[in-house]
Amino acid sequence: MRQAVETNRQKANIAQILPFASDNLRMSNEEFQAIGEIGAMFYEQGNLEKAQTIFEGLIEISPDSDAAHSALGALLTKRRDDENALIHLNKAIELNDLEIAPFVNRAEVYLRQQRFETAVADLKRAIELDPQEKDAGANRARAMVLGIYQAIETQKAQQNNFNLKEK
Amino acid sequence: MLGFVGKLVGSVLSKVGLDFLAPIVSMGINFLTGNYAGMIGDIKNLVSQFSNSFLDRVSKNPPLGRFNSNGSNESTSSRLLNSDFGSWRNQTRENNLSRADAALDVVYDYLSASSRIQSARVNIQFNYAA
Repeated sequence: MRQAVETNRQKANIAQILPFASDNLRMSNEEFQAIGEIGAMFYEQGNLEKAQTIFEGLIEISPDSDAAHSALGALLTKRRDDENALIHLNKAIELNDLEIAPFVNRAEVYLRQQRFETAVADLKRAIELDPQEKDAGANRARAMVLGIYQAIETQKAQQNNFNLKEK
Repeated sequence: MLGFVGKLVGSVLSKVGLDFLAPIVSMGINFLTGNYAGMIGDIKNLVSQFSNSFLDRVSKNPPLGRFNSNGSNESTSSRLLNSDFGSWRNQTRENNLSRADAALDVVYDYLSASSRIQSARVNIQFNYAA
């Protein structure tokens, strides 16, 4: 089962890489990916302005690139620009529902919006796509699930204490 | 299995920038109402399947997806060494792709700076060897 999920994800990634590049610009998939990775480097360094410029440019070059929508959605999630993040995360998932990152980030946005059931559904999906706990993004989803679990348990304990005092 | 959760989760959530979670969930979910019973069951089921080692590999930021680079910055740059930025920029300007144009500017500036640093490194090594 786990192997089947992994293999399907790998196949989907290969299939999704092919239509990336813009014919007009004669940009190869490899070049498109390399530019995205430079955007990722700026993102990791905290230079969100430059990263955003790159991801927005890549979407203009290839509007159906799920990777570019996923990256811009992540960046907007980090910026807590939730409304715009959802536009790109929804698009990324519509283009490729086997990629983990947009599910994790959409769940984060949904949690901020207190849409708990849809958030948990996305977290569950992200975790299912990484059964071996290898993906740092899926592990972020697991951390969120733990956070929710702990919050519920804390609330339950407080309620029990309150009930005991009442008696 | 669930015992490890309480000790670890607070610090982990704040390390990965998710410390906003607990108050939101506490305010938003009243487990006593039963409205979220199914969801709470899902959460318990998920947590029961976690190992306690995944916490060492948690993304600190919202994950990007496929652009997350596993290689070095130099190997990423090397894939753009023979790229025709001049032609790309002409095309973006002719087609009024202003965002693509701005993106290519940022990438070009980055590659130019990296290349200057690389040359400086080579010069330093050369001078040192000499």
